[in-house]
Amino acid sequence: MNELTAIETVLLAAVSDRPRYGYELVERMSELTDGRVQVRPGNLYRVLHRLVQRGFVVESDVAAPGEDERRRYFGATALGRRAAAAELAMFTRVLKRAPALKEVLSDA
Amino acid sequence: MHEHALWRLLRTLLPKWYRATYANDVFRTHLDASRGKTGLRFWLRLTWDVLLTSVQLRMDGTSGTTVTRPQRASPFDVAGQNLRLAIRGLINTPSFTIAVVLTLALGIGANTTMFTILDRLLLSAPAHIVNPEQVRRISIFGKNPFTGETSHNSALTYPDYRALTSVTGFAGIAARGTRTLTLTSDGVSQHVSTEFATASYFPVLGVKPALGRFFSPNEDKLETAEPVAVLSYGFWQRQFGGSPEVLGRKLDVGKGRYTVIGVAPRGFTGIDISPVDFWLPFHPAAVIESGRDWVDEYGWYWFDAIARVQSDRPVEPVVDMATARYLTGLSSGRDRDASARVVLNPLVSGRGPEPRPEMQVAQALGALAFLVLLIACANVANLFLARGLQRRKQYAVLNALGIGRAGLIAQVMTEAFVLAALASVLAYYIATIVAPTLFKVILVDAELARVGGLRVLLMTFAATLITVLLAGLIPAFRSSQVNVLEALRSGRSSLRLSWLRRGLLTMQAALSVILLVGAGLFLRSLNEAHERDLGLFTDALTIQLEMNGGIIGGDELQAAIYPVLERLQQHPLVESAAATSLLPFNGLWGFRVRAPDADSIPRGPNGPMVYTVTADYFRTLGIPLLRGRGLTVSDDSKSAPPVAVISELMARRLWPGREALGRCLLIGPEKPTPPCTTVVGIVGNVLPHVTAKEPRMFYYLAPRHVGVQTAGAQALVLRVKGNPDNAIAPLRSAAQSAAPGIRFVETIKLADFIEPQLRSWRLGARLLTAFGLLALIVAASGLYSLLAFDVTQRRFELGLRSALGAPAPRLIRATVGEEILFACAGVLLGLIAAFWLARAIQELLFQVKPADPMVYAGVLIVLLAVSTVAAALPAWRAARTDPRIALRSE
Repeated sequence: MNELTAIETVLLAAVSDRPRYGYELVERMSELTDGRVQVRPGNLYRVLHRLVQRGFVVESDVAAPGEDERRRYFGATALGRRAAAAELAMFTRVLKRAPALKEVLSDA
Repeated sequence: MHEHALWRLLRTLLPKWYRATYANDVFRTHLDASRGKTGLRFWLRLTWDVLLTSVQLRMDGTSGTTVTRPQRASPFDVAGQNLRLAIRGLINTPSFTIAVVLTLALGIGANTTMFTILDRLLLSAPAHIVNPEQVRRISIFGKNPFTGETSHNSALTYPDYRALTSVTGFAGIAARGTRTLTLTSDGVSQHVSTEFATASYFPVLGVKPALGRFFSPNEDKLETAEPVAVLSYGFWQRQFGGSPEVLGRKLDVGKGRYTVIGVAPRGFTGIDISPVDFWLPFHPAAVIESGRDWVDEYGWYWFDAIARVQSDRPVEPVVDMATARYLTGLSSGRDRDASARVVLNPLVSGRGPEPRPEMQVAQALGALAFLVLLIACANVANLFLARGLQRRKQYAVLNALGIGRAGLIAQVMTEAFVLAALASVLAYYIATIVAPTLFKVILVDAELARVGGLRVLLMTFAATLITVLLAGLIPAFRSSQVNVLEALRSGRSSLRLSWLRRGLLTMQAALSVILLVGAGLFLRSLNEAHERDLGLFTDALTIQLEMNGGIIGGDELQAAIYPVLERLQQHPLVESAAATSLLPFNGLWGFRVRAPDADSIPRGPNGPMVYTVTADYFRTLGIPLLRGRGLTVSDDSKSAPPVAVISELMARRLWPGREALGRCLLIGPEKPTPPCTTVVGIVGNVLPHVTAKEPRMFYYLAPRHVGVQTAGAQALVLRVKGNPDNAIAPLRSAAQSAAPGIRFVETIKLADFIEPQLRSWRLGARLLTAFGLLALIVAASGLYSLLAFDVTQRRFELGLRSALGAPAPRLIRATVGEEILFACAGVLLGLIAAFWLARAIQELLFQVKPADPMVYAGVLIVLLAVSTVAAALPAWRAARTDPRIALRSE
């Protein structure tokens, strides 16, 4: 089962283009969701750990040049990207029905 | 890494594996987020994060392994998942959580407190009594010899008791009377409460001493060379530091000297709740304090009795036998009721036929606590309802995804359960802190031995859970009925006030009015009692006197008083001083009075009462002399012609429309006819006691008047120059040096002496005001949260209107107008209900009518002010909604 919670999905999206470190991830997740997701750092690492355990995310030892060495970077695995994509596809399928329903309603 | 002590401490909250792997990264990220600044904000955020994360991690299970959802969830998993969801939901909406938990904790806390107190007052037997249901209070149901009313009377005379001891059916019978006496040690006097108890008292109750022993029948005889005493545990601790060497010590209590032989168990206060310091053997103590007249006196009701019934025998024959013995004990010619019956009442005083006034206060408070709970309940229901509305979309989506109605309700109820758990813990702590204090206030100085316990905790939790379930269930049902399409459409029509919310709002307002009216009536009572014209000068000082040691008759005391009085009259601080038989408002005394030329003089509760006073009494206490003259020094002699000064009321009642001066009063027994006492003066009326509704007839005689048989003067009243508080100490020592044989028990202002008699109003007013305030806070916060929620929900509409140029007042009206309308309806309903309910507390009120217009007007003003403020904030927010922001929020 590759079910993901909403925050897991957003986090996977945030690490899918390149590895990121803690605060960068907080910012990126907020940016991706129009500021709707403000993850607490404690929770961030909790969710990250869960994703690492499931093999969706790995810790990357490649730090960008000039960056602080003590920062830990995390990036998505191929498996992780696929899982996130599948989850989003499922969501989209559900939500695609919404406009049609809305239309029916406003006609009624 | 910046190692801060606070951080090291915080870190320990996190599970070990997480701390080792991620704690530093969490800190680092917070540091990044605050751009390296570690101010208060940083630490608050960090603390909050660590707290929540540690809770979340523990809910996740061990070492953070993912919980994969099984295909078919067991009920246990569902419950666990619901619990997790509920906690997460509550954490995400802290304002909702805090509002609900606080409201409930206050409402339930008030109720737990009152439950604890009422339980002790009304339901539980006093501590240390074995099989308390077998112990009964004896009372006589018949005509009250004083008032003439048929009622239960627990006060007995000694011949009555002697008759009852011959009843064979009791497992035991005991007599006990309470009295406040003076304990003197090393020249310092203090008041102690004593209970005169027969040797059978402790065995009847089944109490065992904590130290030493209780009295033996031999030590409870009329003739006892060396009287003994038992100390209460509390007094033993306070006064003797709990030292076992107290046994054998001799103590001067009242007029006697007693040897301590034992200490009662901790928390034992006899059969009543008020504390006792000493138990003295009934017969010797009564002889020492009062002589021997009571032994055969049928008119002296001064104690009561208890009996233990045998569990294996029916009670009726025993009661019949007791009644028979009681009636044969009545000698002929006494005006007692021959149809009187002996009644055995339960030990728990609250269940008896004569509830104490404290019970009434406690019951009224219990009812009020319940009202507060109802308001809190309405409030919480409203909050749940609002939350339900807020989550319509969420529910709708869940519904669409196949999570059924039962699932939704289960989830909402889980949330309710978590809230109830939090609130009841808080409520329990509120109760354990408040209850003992309140108990002490309701019953002067009585100790609430045991507070809380599992029973109270369970009761609290049950009450909270029921409240939350009631408050949460209806909203949950409503939320679960969400129509997906309607909810997703998010039209403003669906957010209008529902009838349920209107009803809750109305009820909340009505209940608050009722509470506030109660509080207002008590406040007015208190004010009345304070500003009352008692008919005299309450800044006067009073000194109560008592002889030191031994059995000394009234004459000796009286002889000793005069030198003291003379000394004080010459004291530079004293303006005037007088002696009196009784202090005003401190009990009544009467002789038989006839007047040959008056139609009839009422007897009993309306009959005239006497004060024996020396010259200057009226001037000292500021009682106005209306006609004739006051008493003079020359009147105070056995050889002087007997004269009396009477109160205006007495003059008017006895000789209506005629001159009272110069008339003759016959004071004393029927035969031989006493000499004429001439009325020489008429003075202003004085109340018989502070709380009396109207004045009573009084006449004043000189202490050495021929008709006065008992001790004529026992207390002094003084009017001093300057501040009376500063005069207390010098006057006390001046009095002491004038007569070393006298004990000057208390030197206080008359006003302070009266103070305790105003207790029940003061108490009622304070507590009711406190409950009224509590209700006001709960109701106002309810109104506020309701309105604030509405404004948030209708931001879109308001923004649109604002963008279209609607003026602010209209917007405000559109937002809160309807709520205000329903709140006003509630206020009106509440006023009507309060008007009707206030009659129930009439007995506790003082000189205030239940329909006092001032109170109702005041409540109206307060409520309008509070609801205006509660409504103004959200309305103001509504009026300045920025259209752009509002429109974007959809």
